[in-house]
Amino acid sequence: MIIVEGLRVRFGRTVALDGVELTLEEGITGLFGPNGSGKSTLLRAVAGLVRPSQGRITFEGAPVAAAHEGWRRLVGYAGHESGLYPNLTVSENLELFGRLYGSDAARPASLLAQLGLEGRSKTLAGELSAGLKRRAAVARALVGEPRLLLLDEPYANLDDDSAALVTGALVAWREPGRSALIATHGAKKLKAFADAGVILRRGRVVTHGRYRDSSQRRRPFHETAAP
Amino acid sequence: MATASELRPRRAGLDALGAAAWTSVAAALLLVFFVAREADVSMGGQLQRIFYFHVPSAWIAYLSFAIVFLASIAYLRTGAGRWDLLAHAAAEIGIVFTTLVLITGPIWARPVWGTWWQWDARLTSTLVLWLTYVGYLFLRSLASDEATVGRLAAVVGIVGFLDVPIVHFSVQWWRTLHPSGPTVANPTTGSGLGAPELTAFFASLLAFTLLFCWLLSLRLRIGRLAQRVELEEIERAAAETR
Amino acid sequence: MTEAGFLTKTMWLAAKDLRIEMRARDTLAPMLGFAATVALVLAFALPEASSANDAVVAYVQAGFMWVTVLFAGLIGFGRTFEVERAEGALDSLLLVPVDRSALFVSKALSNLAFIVVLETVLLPLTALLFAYDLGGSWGALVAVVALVDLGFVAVGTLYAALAAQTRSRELLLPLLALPALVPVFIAALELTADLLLGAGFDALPARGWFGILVAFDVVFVTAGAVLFDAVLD
Repeated sequence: MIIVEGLRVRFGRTVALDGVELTLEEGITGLFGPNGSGKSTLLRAVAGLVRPSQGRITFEGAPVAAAHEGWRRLVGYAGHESGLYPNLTVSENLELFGRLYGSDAARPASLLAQLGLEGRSKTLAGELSAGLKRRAAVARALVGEPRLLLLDEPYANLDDDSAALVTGALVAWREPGRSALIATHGAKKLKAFADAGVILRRGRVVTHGRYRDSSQRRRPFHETAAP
Repeated sequence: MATASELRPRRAGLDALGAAAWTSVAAALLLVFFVAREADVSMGGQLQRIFYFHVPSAWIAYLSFAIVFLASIAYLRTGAGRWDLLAHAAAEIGIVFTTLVLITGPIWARPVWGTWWQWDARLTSTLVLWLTYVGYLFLRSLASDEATVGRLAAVVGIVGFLDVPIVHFSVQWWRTLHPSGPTVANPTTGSGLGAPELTAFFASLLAFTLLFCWLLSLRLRIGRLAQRVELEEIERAAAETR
Repeated sequence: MTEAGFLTKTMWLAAKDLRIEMRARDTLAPMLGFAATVALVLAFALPEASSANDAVVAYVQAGFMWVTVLFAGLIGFGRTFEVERAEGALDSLLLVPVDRSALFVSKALSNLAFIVVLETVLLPLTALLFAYDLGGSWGALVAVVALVDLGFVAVGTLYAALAAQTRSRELLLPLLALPALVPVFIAALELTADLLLGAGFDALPARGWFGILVAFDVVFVTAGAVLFDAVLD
């Protein structure tokens, strides 16, 4: 579905991604790797927020660029920051983005429920704790019913109960025709339900493969099947 | 990316252009100082000769900005780095000529008007052009990262240029409504502009144009070399970490 | 739910900005405060109204008003983009399936709202301070202000978005915007001074400054809408 070819991303003198080749298929793909391996940059490049210095990314044959309105409709992205307006309430944020994505009027409320945010729906987004902000950010990424979901550390700062809510929302979102690329340090949480995994090190893909069965999921991540 | 062997023929062409430029400058100087007749005192006498440098500088200053404009559009449409380099180079050289205009103008004006500066239409519009160049160059040095600087600069190059005719026109009109001090006599319509003077003028114009082309080509070459060096350094750094 | 149209989305976005301003109150207040300080300083620099002839006084008063609006306005434009930087909301906004020119229009509209509030406060105040009387030509003044604001906001919004992405945005915005706004400023001064000197509405278009303002507005609103995409990417 999403094909990344020879992707190189440079920031000034730093090479963040050094020739990434990847095919993202349906389902949820975990993106693993040490700090500084380029996970965030890869997510931003696929979203179209960062222009590649070399290489290309295509979605069903067409090039990916945040400049194309049609492409933007399909993408849900949540980066390190919450991406919410701090002076609007959680509800107001979700409703605003929901309307801009043309989604169902009931969608924001449903997401609030899924992610356990009903109690805080009237709180200003800037006043949320770190964990709640994460969940609210995931809600915002999901509000447009994206076909491509890109999440950067959705489990950061979350206790087990909150993490379970996020997992629930992701599983509920997963449908045929949808792909997700989710970067996380909490590999165990994600591997429990992910369909595939990618390991990044120093800007290059080290391993990439689909999990064929639950026994593969239980292996430590550096032993996963090669492509 | 140009290799060393590809750059060599260009170097020869560049040198030839430089030689032509400086030759024509020498010729123009001869014509301006020895062939063109001295203007009469009301126009500044000997000092009036500075207009042979002032006017061509002004034409080149505006031509340069037109190049910035076109290169900026090309860059936004194609994303090709060479257009960005051309815009940057034209801006750097353009500001030099614009500064020349702003210096030579008052030098001539002092004896004729009695003051160094006047808010007359041409000088004021040129000042606005100069400030636009300054803004453009400041932007290029203050952008947060290299990826965005070309795009942002291109926007300023385009908007700034669209503004130039409007500024020129409005300042001119404002000036006719509020004349103060002696209105600058247009040297080109002044008395005594015969064949020798026109020859000197066009010689000067040619010289300035060639000089501009040479400087621009030089700057472009430097830019291309710098890009090549940077890319090689990055490749080397990336290869080391693999 | 069907996809909403360009205008609807633009209105939602503009409403978002205004709602945030009403909660945070960190744009309008600094603008007004800054306007007050500029006005104070200018007041000392200007000649006594009684000592000069009518024409000079008219220009001084017009200048006073427009210089204050110009500088306070630029401060305001710079701040409206700070809203997007907190919490990375700008990334979210860039990924929304909305035409980039809609983003431009919505930002320009909220900027326009701030400028209008500023002028609503400033105009009566300066009328009081300078004891001038526009007679029946308030309508003409509104028309002039509207045209000037349109050009001002178009250039200001575009360049504010641009400066927001640089290291020295407070310096770059005035540096870029002020030379570009020279025609608007001159036209504003001339037309306002004319009105203060008693010209009626009909005399204004004949003055031609109206034509310049309209031309400026058309060129720069269009340029802003088209180039906003390149600024934000």
